[in-house]
Amino acid sequence: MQNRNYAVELVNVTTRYPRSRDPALIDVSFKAPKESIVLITGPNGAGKTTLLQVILGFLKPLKGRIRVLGYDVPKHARLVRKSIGYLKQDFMKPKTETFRVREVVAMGLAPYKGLFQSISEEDEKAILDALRMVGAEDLLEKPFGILSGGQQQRVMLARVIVRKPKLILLDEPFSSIDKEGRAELARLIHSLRKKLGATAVIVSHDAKPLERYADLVVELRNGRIARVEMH
Amino acid sequence: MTITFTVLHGVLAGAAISLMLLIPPEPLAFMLGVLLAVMIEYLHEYMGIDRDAASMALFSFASALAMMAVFMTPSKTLTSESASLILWGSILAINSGKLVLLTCILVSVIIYVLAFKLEIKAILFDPELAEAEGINVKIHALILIILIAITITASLKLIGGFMLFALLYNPIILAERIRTTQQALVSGIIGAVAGSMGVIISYLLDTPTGATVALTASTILIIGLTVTTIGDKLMENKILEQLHKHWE
Repeated sequence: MQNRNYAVELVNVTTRYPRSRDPALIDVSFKAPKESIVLITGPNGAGKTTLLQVILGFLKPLKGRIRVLGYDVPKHARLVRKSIGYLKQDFMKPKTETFRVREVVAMGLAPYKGLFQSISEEDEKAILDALRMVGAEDLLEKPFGILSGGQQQRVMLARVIVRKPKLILLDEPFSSIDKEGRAELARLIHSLRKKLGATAVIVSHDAKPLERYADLVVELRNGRIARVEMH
Repeated sequence: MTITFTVLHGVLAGAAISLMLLIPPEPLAFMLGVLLAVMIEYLHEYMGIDRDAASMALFSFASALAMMAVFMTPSKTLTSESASLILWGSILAINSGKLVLLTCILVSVIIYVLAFKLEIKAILFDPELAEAEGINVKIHALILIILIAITITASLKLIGGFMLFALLYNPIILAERIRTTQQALVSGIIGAVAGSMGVIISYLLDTPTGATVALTASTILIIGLTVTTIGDKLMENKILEQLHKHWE
């Protein structure tokens, strides 16, 4: 039976990467309430990105149970992914990337389109609105490759927003931006929770920018839960 | 690019084995081409082997298979027209049936690209992100591999196995150099122009089709690289001139 109160539920999850002897996560359990902001923190190698891979269904659990938006993962992963907006840690593209910003954001709508369907006028408006939310509307026609790291990240965030996801997964979103940008991003995440009714799971080794907004803080160390704090 | 390279050698190996068995080359050539490409993906997905490394390993395997088949083929067959067609191509390989087949392949590719335009773009930009957003990347990779194998197999006797490289890689190199947002379309157009011009020149001058197409594609590439280099230099000078005027 689906528990409708939690967007993400992990129960005693242990997993490892293929061909790796050591488990990457050991007996990890936590539940992210709907419309909450969850901060996953910990040192490098703690298993933070692995946790996102598990939520996305890219890594199968050796034991335990994972439920995302009410569905078992990885069994229903492809279905669930359509309701997820994901910002990867390694999102940057080289200077030779010629896709325009408008196209990159539009790609986020691809899973919702039928055969032969293109981007509609309504979609174009949604793309512009998403870029406006992240302060990147003037980059619309620029090639993605020539943008700076911070600009590329804002465009990728716009791609997350345009999907109107129920679950937002951000992997180290503060790594490419300055102190002022971090505060702005934290406020944006907080506003997205309200606007979209979305749950946000954010992985960051730097907890400070999100401290005042996070409803749940999960600290990982060596693949295990070291601390869980409800705010 | 390396997957296409390996598929081509798989197709050649299949054709060589068919020659040895005295059967039509197309079915086995197609199957071996697709099999090798699927094996690259399998080795990458389930054994964590880098795609380029897997491609090179399977390329060696396919080349060895082809050489072994050639070694075991009776010399009478080797010197026959069918062997020559597979290696060097011939304009005489075009018949109405082949034209219909090539047209059907072209229409299939166009339909596929138009039907899944956004998804294909998303996969080209970042396949991992596309998968995370709910796109079935594996299915599209398989479809693309099959289309590549079909296209190479259908073109084998016309252009010849060794000359197909020019049509596979030169247009992509030039399209990347042009820095257009429609790289796929531009490289397709360049390939079509090079192929058509090559076949026409081969007919007019009565030269080997495959070699003529390859030389035409190479000439277009050299001209394109020269023009874009000169264009870049002129643009550079124009920018410096404008900056100089601004400082004054």
